[in-house]
Amino acid sequence: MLHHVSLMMTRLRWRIHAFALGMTLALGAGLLGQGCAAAGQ
Amino acid sequence: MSLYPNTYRLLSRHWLKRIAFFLLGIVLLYAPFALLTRLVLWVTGTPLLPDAHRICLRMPIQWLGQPWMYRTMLEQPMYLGAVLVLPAIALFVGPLFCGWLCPAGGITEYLSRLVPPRFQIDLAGRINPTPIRYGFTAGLIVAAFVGGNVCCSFCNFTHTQNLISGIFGHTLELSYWTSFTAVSFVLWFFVLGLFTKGGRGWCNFLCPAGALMGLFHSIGKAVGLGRSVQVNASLCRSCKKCVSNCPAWAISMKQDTAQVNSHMCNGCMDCVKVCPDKAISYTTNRLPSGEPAPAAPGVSSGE
Repeated sequence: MLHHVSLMMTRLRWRIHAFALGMTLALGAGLLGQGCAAAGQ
Repeated sequence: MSLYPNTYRLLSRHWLKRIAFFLLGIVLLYAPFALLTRLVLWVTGTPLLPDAHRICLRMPIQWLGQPWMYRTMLEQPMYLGAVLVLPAIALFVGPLFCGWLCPAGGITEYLSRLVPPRFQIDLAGRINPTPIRYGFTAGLIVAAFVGGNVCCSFCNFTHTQNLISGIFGHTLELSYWTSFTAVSFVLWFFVLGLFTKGGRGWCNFLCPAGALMGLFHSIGKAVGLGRSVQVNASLCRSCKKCVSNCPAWAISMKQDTAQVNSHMCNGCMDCVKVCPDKAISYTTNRLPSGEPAPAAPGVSSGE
């Protein structure tokens, strides 16, 4: 039982981290894009 | 391959069919043709340039954070078409647009087949890109509200149109590739395209349209609406041909049985064609209890 809970938490943690990674990428790309647009590039 | 001599032939015919649809996608959606866009613009009497921007799914997302653009959305409701129509289709029949019509995904998928596998990164079955893609889509929505610019310079759909327009003589479109646009082009076309197994790394990790359609497709499957790619566990012999042939990395093995991740499946049906045991089919969704799902509008039941 504990093993299953631990496995589930590991998967959940990976999903949360992956979601946060994707979100950070998009935000970073968005702000970088805004910077490039402002610089006329 | 030696065990199943017909597999390659079947898949080749299937690929040819998909290539025909992919070319149709170019003619329908991209300048200088953009036949579908031209038709919609003509019917609605809208004086806009007929190109891929008229069916863009990202611009309306960005405009959510730009109140001065609300008026444009109200005056030109066709901008909301892609946001409303594509997920609605995905709810009932899956993201067939991704697997059969989207030229941006198709061009890298087909070209990647020309690159020897030893030069390609193989992430199929090793990573689940679902949360990254949903996170990226959520980030795009948040970025719109904090002044981020997430449009054309990051859009593989635009890059493909620039390529097509350039090929047909509109070479000025190619001058668009400056600065960050060139970086995102290299990432889409080479790193996550030609040199990634399946050629759809950009779709799998970063496409917001695919994420939105995948979300609606999985909702449809969960509530027993429409159709989806499904595995008959009793027929599956764990040959893993589907895993290695899925360009969307949507199939994994669980307890020696293939499992389709409906969040990632793009409805290309390569797995249906390649399965030697006919264990995978594109069929009517059923409710978890086993009760037949209510018939979806416009969708016939059974195979």
